Amino acid sequence: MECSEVCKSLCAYVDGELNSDKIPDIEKHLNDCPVCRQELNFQKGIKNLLHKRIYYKSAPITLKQRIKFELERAEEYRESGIQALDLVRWGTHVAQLYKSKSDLLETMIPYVYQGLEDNELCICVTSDMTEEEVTETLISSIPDIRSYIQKGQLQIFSYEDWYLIKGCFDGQCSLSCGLKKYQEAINNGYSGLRITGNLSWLDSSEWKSFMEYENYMDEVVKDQKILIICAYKESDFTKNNVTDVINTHKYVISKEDEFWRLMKHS
Amino acid sequence: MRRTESAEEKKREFEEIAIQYMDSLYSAALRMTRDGNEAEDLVQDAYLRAYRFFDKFEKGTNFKAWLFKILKNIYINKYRKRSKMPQMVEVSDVEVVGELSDTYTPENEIFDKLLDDDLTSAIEDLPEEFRFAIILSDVEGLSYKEIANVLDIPIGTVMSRLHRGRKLLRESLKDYAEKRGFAKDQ
Repeated sequence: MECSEVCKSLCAYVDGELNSDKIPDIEKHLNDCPVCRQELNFQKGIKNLLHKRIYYKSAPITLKQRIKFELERAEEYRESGIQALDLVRWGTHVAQLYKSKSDLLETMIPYVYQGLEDNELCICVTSDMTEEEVTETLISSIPDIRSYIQKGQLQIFSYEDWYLIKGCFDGQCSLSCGLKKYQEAINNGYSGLRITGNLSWLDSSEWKSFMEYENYMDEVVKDQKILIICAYKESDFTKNNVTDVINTHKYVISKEDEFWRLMKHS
Repeated sequence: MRRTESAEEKKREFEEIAIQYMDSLYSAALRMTRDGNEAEDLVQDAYLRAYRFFDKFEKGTNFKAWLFKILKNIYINKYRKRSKMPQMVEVSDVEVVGELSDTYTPENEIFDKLLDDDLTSAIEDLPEEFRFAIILSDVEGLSYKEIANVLDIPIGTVMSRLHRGRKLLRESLKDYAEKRGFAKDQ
């Protein structure tokens, strides 16, 4: 047996994972070859060292309590459909910062699809794309989407028909529009309401009142069976705007190096 | 898997089996994220997802390995700081063979003198794919088959990663030993 072949099998030998028929040959070689023996001792040494000296860090008692508490209300968690968000509890209000339409769709499509699959009433409020564009995109991406549209489980609105019903932004009006849809969801036997709203229509004149609305929304939805993603296009605003968005949402997702990342602030 | 019991029974059964592994999962999460708050969130996410899919757990298989697989998937999708991670290196068997040399010296007694913190840091310094393989094998004691399943890699790759990981760890431990003045050549 050659050293190269022995070296290849030493790891498995040390870990007790080597096929028993190979063991006599390996042991014979180890007996005769000091170099391979040293390699064996090294591998054994590292393994023993880790086994003896790497201790478990006790999970903080608060984590144990937290997990037990969250397991108690596990049924309040929903599949978001977005990997970076994973499971989210009802009442979660997320901001999304996106750069391009393809980024927007990359999260919007699975988010909507998951909601439909899980018997939620889904609302898409568009502004960076038209209602027609969003409808066409969803039709080409989600199987059988027309039936969801026909039965009213998926409803697509333009920003004018959702945020600007009175011709200009009125937080109270948008809020009652959302709560009406929530009631509709519950009355029609859906599990809850899932909204994605695009905010690229916002301009500086409405910014302050919209942020107050966002802040208020966070409070309003937290005890309801509602999930909301507010999609903000990064190129639409300044650094100060970004800070406002982060401050009015507990969770923010944004794309870094081709991957969505979650920011959470308490 | 049969599961006709109530939600309450399911929760009790899950807690009975799962809670005992929390320290193990938390330790691994800490070594992967290197951040206490993220490690806690990661473990919580893993428990919630495991509970959600408890019906899918195949009885008779290793529950701890199943939890680790869930933890690993959530870590990759949600917590891994991709931009800061070194390139993933697939180590081929050929490379492993090429590493054999007569330069190894018995350093185990030197490593024994190292502080626990040095050992932990050396593990945390390992590139991610080696770190996880080493934790699962040498700390958690999972079999190659279980590690292959957790990491979604072939058993040959498990072996390569362990071999390479231990070698990298040795280099790192030598550095710590030198810093502490334990190295033979100082």
